[in-house]
Amino acid sequence: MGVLKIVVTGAFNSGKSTFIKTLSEVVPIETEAKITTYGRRLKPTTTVALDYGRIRVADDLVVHLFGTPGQRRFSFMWRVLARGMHGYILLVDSADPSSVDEARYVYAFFRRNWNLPHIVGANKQDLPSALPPEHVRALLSVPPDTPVVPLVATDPHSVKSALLTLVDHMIEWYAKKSEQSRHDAVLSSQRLL
Amino acid sequence: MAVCEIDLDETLKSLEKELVDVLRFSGHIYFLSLFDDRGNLVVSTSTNSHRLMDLVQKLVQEHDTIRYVEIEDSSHKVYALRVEGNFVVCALTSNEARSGLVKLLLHRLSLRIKPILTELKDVIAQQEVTQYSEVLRDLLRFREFLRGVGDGSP
Repeated sequence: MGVLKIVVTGAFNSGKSTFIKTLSEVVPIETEAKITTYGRRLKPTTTVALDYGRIRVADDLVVHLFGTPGQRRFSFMWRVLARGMHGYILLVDSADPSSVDEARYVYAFFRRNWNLPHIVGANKQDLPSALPPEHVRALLSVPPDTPVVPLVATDPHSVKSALLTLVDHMIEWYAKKSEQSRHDAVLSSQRLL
Repeated sequence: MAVCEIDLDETLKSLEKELVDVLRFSGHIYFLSLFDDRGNLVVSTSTNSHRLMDLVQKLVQEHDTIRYVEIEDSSHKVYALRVEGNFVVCALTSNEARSGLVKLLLHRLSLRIKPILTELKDVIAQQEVTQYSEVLRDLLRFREFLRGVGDGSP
């Protein structure tokens, strides 16, 4: 069974929940999880404290989407959720300059801990006060080879486009890694000979 | 919009034996972090009853996940906020009851986190050993899948 894991992260109110919710309008996403005896008295299933979605691509391939809690005090969850991920998208509230510091903190946390392919979604581009993606890139010091895409997390086409950009970027990244890995293996075998 | 019905007396009684971490400041201020049923974070600082209305207004202003708010003053002095996703946040006016409420809410929060982490433990742990080429193959399939959905394609 192939499993891909993608994390949607960002500061509080950056649109992580909306992103996953909107994506479910494009792609069938399973979000319900069984809960324990206590909770079952209230209702049989519930969406859990973290955003989660599972996309069944085929019988032998599933994609897991995890949305992280936005606040620093839940940063212990960021580590838990990000463990084993293949890539991530950082969402930024482009219309709220006061959130940039927090976004920078989250981004620094992720980059420090995981050298993995990612993109930045400059969200809320439908709002008049939204900063353009290139401004967001400069504010967060995003590397030139990392895509920063305009995003409206309430728009299914925009969300799908952002996810495709992430997947494209991940494909490029993993192709390089795969090639490098093969190259290293060849060198290693030559040394043995 | 349905409302979760909580038997507070029964729940609080059942929680008395449980060790729940309650953050308490200055004897009267409790710090809460709440989630609605859609997983949206609703931050709340519960202090005392006369500041509850301030809290309500703040929640409505700051969180667009809250569509409307209804305050009910029952015989037990229970205040209820109705939040999108059918989640109900209750606040009681007495210190004892409020302390119990904090435990209740934190307990509910922990209940929401633990099951999913348990269920997905294998998923979370297994990825580190996956080979690049396998990931690449799966990503290519996922891209084809994505391109085919939402545009009227079969």
